[in-house]
Amino acid sequence: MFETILMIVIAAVFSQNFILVKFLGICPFLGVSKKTNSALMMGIAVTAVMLLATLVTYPLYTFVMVPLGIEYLEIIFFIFIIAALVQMLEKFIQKFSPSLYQSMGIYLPLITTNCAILGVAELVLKAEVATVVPGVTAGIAMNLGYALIYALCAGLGFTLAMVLMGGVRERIENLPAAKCMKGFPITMVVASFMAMAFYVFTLI
Amino acid sequence: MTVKQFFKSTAFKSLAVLLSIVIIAGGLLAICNDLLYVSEEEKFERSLAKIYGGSAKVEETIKLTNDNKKQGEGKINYAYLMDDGNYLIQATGEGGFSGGTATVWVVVGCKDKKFDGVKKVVYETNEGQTYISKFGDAFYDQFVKSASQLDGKTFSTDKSDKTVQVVNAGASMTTTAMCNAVNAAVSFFKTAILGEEVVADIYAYQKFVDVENSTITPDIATKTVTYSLAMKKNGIAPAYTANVTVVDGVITAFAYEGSIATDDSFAGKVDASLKDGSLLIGKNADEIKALITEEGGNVSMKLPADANLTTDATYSSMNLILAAAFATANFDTFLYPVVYADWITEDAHTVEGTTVTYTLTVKKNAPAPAINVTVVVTDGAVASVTVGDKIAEPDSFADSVAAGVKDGSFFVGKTATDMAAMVKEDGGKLAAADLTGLELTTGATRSTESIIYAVAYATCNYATFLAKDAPADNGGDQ
Amino acid sequence: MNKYGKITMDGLVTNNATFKLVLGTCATLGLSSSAMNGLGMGISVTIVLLLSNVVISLLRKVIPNTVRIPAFIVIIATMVTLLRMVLYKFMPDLYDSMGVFLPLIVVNCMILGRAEAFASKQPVLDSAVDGVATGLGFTVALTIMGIIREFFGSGSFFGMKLWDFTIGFFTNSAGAFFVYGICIALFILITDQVEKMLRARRAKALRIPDGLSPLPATEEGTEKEEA
Repeated sequence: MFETILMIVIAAVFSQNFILVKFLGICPFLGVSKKTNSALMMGIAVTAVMLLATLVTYPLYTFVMVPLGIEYLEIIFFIFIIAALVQMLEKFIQKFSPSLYQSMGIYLPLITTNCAILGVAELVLKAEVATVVPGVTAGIAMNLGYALIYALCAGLGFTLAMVLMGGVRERIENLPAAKCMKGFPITMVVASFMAMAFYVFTLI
Repeated sequence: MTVKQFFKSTAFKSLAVLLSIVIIAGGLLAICNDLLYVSEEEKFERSLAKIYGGSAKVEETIKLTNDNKKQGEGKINYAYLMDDGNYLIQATGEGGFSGGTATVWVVVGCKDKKFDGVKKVVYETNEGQTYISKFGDAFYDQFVKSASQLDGKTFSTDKSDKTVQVVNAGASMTTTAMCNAVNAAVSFFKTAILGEEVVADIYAYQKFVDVENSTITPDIATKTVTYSLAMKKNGIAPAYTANVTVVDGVITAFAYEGSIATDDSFAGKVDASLKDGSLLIGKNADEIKALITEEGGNVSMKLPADANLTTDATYSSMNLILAAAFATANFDTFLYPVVYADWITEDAHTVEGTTVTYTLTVKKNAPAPAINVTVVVTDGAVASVTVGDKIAEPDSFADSVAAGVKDGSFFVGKTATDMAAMVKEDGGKLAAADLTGLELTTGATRSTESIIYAVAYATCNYATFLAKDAPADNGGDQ
Repeated sequence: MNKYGKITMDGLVTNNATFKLVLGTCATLGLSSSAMNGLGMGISVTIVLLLSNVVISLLRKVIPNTVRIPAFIVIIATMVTLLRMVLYKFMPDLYDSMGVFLPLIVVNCMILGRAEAFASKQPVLDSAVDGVATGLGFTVALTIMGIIREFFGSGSFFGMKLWDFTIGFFTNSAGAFFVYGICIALFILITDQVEKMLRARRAKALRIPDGLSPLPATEEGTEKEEA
């Protein structure tokens, strides 16, 4: 139990990092990571929505859609749930903490089409923990608890990569680079080096 | 806003359009889901095909019973006959690291209803094997062996055999579990599917001796068996020839030819009392057996302290003792060979003077059942034959058996020579009885055969049993 | 150049979704580990793009402006679900190798982007051509990256083994980012050169001296779409 949770934490944050290893949520990674601060805010927003989305989609899929035999509608259901959650979260924050809304609110609408959220919701539907997190002993069945831990840690891993990239990009943005390498290409190459660093975690 | 206004508003229109799109999309998907439904069976065949490689269809699922599930150190989980005639078996091997197991899929080749080697081994899962990631394709390929390569051998990490190499120094336990799993699959195929009986060694200590290339000469008159045994390689000790003479169960002469160790310095370390045979001469089967410890198929030495043996040439010393063990333990078997024993499952015979009375059970000879036959042989010729009640399946077939066979009158007066002429030998086994000269109606051939086998066994072994049991009858002369 | 030619050129090269607009990055990075995967993903996206573009274009006058985004998403999600069913039934191997990226086609900003920017305003035929062109642009880009990564990473070409020499870097995620970055850079370099040449030729034809023509907008003009 404890061992499994530890494995999930390590995998979701480091060795199976959503951005740098699994390639999920690349768009905000390239778009919103120009400043450390905005990267952090985006990361927190994504983590919150991931957690919420999993909390709703996992029970919905397991306890409603599977018994009813309508698994094939999962994509439509999930995307609407995520969109609705984002809307609700936005309204909620706006009402109760206008200052937080000021700093984070603008990132929320972007999250709806962030593939990392839908990615988590789809990934945790697997029957066994081992299929999602390599290295976990075979035979442990997935449940809501593991799914939520995975979602939380995937969000943390996402935030970590965003913040790291933000820090690097603040510095490289003003450096002289070949014209054709400016912008996306240089960001990709930097991401490649970061991915190399994260690759080391898979050897654990 | 009135109701009328509401129905004309953009809000209603938006809602209506969105809802209808959702409903149409949902309906379309529901229809397509039905059309493109992938059945459980198809999913299962796909997952099997992935293991099997290429498109494979399951022809038949082999039923597992509690009797055939457990095979040696492993157990069978699933077994399928594939459409190309090979078998796909999932087996779990025991004896892994910290009492864990390893489960693999094994493709067992089958050609003309014969074992055709191991075709493929694919890892499935494990329990508690921490080094499992070290096992790659190269490891599993070691199991892929043809039938001839595997002839009677099993997979093991045993150093002398080296059928399977341990992947990693720390993973020998896991490797053992893998070997057990593959061995279980092969053994399941041979016993449960082919119905092959596990061929038990006919002689004691047979696995150390190449019986086919040995010369064994019995002499009933002097109760002597002279052996020239081709001893097999034993660990690091090479093969050699042992010449042993056993008289009345006791070794009277022991010598060897060829080298008993890989080099002379090791041969020199073998104790002189073993090399000249003095330690072994004068000992009978039980005394030789006392020098050997057998534990779970492993044989090791338990030599008396006074033998003064150095440990440096253990395998060579051992091999000499094993030759003596084989010679003494099988003395009776060679001196009094029993023929036509293949068809008889039970034999309780008594010897009185020149009369041997047999109470025999003949093996099931489908469709004929196991038949009980009592045969009395006096002076080498059949005196009477009594056949049990149950001789055919169903009973109505019993009527088809000739009366002379049923009441035994047909056999009375027949000798070993007569009976031997009546049965054909095929590869050392009785294959079919030559029934010419017998008035038979077809329909009960097998039952008739069985009775003939029983009588053949009784007459042909008459002399042997008489000679063997005669001394015991007159008080013994040992 | 006629209208369809221009739309095609736009989708394939000038506004190439992968190299120029940098859209659908997740799928590009995740499915370019081999040429076959890249091609499979590309064709899947092309089909979804074509179908969603056609449907959305057909319904463009029916769908009220206020609910257009949810409506588009439902249509796209339906197409993806359909594609998923078909793949699972007929091409299970490709289905497995695409894994979680298959349902994620829904949130591929390229598809919603084309629906919003083109299909919701243009007639059906134009939208269909645009869908195929954009999809093919994506497919070609993915396949090129797949070929490069497969060639160095597994020493093979479309699954055919060429030699045993492999560089592990190209098969893992770091290699994906690196190859993508270099490909974008090369694409910008080449299109810049071609555009310069075209301008030079046009300038010559118009007898305008070289150097007076304004430089083409390059990376500054690249849209940074966020999704």
